[in-house]
Amino acid sequence: MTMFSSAGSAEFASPSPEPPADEAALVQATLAEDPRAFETIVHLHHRRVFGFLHQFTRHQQDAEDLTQQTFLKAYQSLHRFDCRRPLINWLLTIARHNALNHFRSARKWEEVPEQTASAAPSPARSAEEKDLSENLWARARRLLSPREFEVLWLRFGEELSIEETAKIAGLTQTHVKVLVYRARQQLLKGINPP
Amino acid sequence: MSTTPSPRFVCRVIRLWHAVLPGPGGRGRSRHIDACADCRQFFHAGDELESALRRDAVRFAPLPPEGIERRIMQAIDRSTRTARPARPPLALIWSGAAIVAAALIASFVLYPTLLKRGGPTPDSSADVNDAVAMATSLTSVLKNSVAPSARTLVADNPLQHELDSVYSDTRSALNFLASNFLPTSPTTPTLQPAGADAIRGS
Repeated sequence: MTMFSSAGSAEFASPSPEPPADEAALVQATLAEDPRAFETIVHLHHRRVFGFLHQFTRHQQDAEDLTQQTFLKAYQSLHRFDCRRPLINWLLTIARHNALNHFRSARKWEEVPEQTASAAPSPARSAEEKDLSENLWARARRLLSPREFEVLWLRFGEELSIEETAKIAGLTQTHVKVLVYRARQQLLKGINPP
Repeated sequence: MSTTPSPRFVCRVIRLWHAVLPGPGGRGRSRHIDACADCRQFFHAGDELESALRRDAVRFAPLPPEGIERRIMQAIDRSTRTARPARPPLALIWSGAAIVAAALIASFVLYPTLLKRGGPTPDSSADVNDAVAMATSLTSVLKNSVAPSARTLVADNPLQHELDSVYSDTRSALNFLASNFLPTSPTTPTLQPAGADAIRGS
């Protein structure tokens, strides 16, 4: 018996790789110095960018700072954006570079401790750990290598296609497929030990 | 020693093949999956895992902090206000050089225009005087605009040498104009542009 429910496959159908029609219009309006247009872009995408960076950093404040930097960089180089691509993919690529640069001079990002570093678990901490033990992504983080986790997150957390995942992670599509395959194997083994 | 691969090996190959090259695949692959209960369970568990990952990504998504949109827009406002790049001092030097180049071009344009008008005649003496006056004022503009800024920028710079050569070229051109086009009279003064020493002196 497996622990997963099969519900939600239709609910989480992959989004179309085509960008929404009004997204290009928003980009054009921002380039024409319409102050409201970029505000709308921020409103539409800040949750996903923040969520991705939170998975990357495991730190609320770092994720917020990096989200801010990501949108700032996007605003400054919006003229280089290819309107045929979905904007979120471009934003996630910038976010990933920002996060890598952020941790480049420090310790490797996979070694960054979680926000709460207390040795004695508080009741709140215990509750959080209980939540995490039910969260597959928390398990995945413990079981997988950072690269496997990142690819798995982009593929199923962000609902990106293999091609889009490969572009953002800077890998070939075959490499992405192999990483996803290995990650699934390890996760299945970790969750349902023989 | 048997040459037939073990079922486990075949299963591993089929699973990896399916992961890397998904789709209908060959007849051999579908036949194996239909026949192998382990592989069917493997693919079913994989599908369930993917659904659960998608579900948990939404369920446990961290909420962005309050006011993050406002802070992002404020950061962008700040950056657009302070993003005006300071004009580098080099640009000032280049603008001086541009004025010098413009003066050179003007003198070269002026020179053939005056030549086309033919030799000196009593009627054209007024034009020649105008031309000399223009050239003189050009020299003074050159001196007033370029020389002080160049002096203040650097104490000993290559622009000074450029100015010296421009000055000598301009003087030669003016002398040429004066000797060829001005009416020859004992009272004609030798042309000495005002402020020439100021350009050369420093």
